[in-house]
Amino acid sequence: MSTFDKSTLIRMLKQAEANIDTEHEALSKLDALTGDGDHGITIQRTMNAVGKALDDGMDKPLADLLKAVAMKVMMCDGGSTSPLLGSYFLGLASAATADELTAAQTAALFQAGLDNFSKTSKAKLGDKTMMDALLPATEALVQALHDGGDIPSAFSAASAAAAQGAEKTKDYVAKLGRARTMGQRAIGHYDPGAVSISHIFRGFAEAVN
Amino acid sequence: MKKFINDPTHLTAELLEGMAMAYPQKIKLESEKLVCRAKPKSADKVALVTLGGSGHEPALQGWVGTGMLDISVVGDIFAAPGPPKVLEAFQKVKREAGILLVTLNHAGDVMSADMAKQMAEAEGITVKEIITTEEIRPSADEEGRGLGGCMLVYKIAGAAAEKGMTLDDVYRIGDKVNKNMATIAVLSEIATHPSTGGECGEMGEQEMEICAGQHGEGGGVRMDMKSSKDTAELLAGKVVEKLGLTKGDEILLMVNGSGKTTLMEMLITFRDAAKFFEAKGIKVVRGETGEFLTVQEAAGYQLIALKFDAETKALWDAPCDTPYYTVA
Repeated sequence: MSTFDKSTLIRMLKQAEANIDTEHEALSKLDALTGDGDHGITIQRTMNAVGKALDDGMDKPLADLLKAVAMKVMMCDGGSTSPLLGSYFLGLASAATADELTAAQTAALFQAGLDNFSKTSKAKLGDKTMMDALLPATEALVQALHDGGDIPSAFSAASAAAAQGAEKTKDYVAKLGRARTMGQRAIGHYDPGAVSISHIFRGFAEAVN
Repeated sequence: MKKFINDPTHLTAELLEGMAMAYPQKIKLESEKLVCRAKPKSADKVALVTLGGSGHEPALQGWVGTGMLDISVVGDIFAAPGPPKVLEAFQKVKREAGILLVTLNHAGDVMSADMAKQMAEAEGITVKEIITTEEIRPSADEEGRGLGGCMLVYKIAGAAAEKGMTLDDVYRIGDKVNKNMATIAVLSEIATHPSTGGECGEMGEQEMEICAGQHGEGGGVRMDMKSSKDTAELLAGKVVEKLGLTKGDEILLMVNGSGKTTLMEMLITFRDAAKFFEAKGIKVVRGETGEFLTVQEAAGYQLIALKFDAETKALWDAPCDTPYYTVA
């Protein structure tokens, strides 16, 4: 597979939703160690909103569909998750110039998602947040597409980078979010937001491979 | 988990419905999760809006009413409401006099408020925001979270708005309260999350934690459980330091129970803290004990103090009429 189109993205997001449905209890347990123990419910509610918006708006052009997803996500009471992922989908929507995208346009799509996410998040790499998985995943994806990689291998690289990024959060002190007051005590625990992002990118890779 | 609840996914909707049914003369529920005044404030006065997760009852929506809040935008349990809901509240109370938004400093609330404010500005709606940061942290260079002290901002800025002061003045007074108040929390038992039934963290049998958060997220300093007097003096000492209180200062002192701590314990704590302040010549001229901002069945309390001046003291005493705080 070498092209990237609306139906591919829908399949990817649906697989990401399925992964979160499977993992949500484990994510809440992870969150109880450094937060209030509800990240699993929040991310599941958010991804279910994504799935619902996709079902409702299947016939819309890609940009409108992604905007509808963003609005549905932001309507969730998801703590910081809803503005963060809402910003991500708005970013994707801003770069969805057509329903079928070239490799360069696909790279630009996901780069725009990350850029808009960053505006809301203000997190840097190593702050023990979603950013620790999303930034390396996007960089790996953009790099692979730039180097002429096909869609399946590019998303496999992104998924691996997200997993690696989430793994590293274990060694970080939280600088933002609810765990920021934990200080050194957060070391040894994964950031549940970063782990969620890695499950989402794993879903992306599974859907195209 | 042993709680008198129904479907764990409907907790927020059902508790809001209950509150609106119990106090129909004071509040009404509009378009799911916006708690509004039963009788709206006249349009020439500044409107006060706040936002935050549920599960902290009576905070925050328990203080919607005359002399305090106009709208509380409610999220799900411990989770900030999404930005479009906050925007909807702004659209409901938009007015030339302006809107003061009070946001408690927690990542989700701050992000949601920020996005909603940007959307409101695009529609020409004027919003000024105060982010409450009164929590005392173990190290002074760490920014505090917004804890139960938000109630003092709602009360005092709300009274200023009710008197018909301008947005600039209401903001100035609210900001002054934020800068002259301090909250320090102590936690001795962790809450369960009412949706998942899971414990929000872990705590040893003989342990307590000071500078603890509102949700069991930790981040405080753990130590052996202490008596009321030793705990109150430890916390009150940090309040004196943070606010730079000296002989002759007048304060409001509030002991806010977190859910499981009894009124008996709160009263004993109040006594111990008040005696500590008074021994230093600091006058406790107003007091409150009770449950203001709770965290389910967490045990512990928040010690909240505000250094008064003539303006804030008079506004604290001004009348208000809300489900959970009334001054005649």
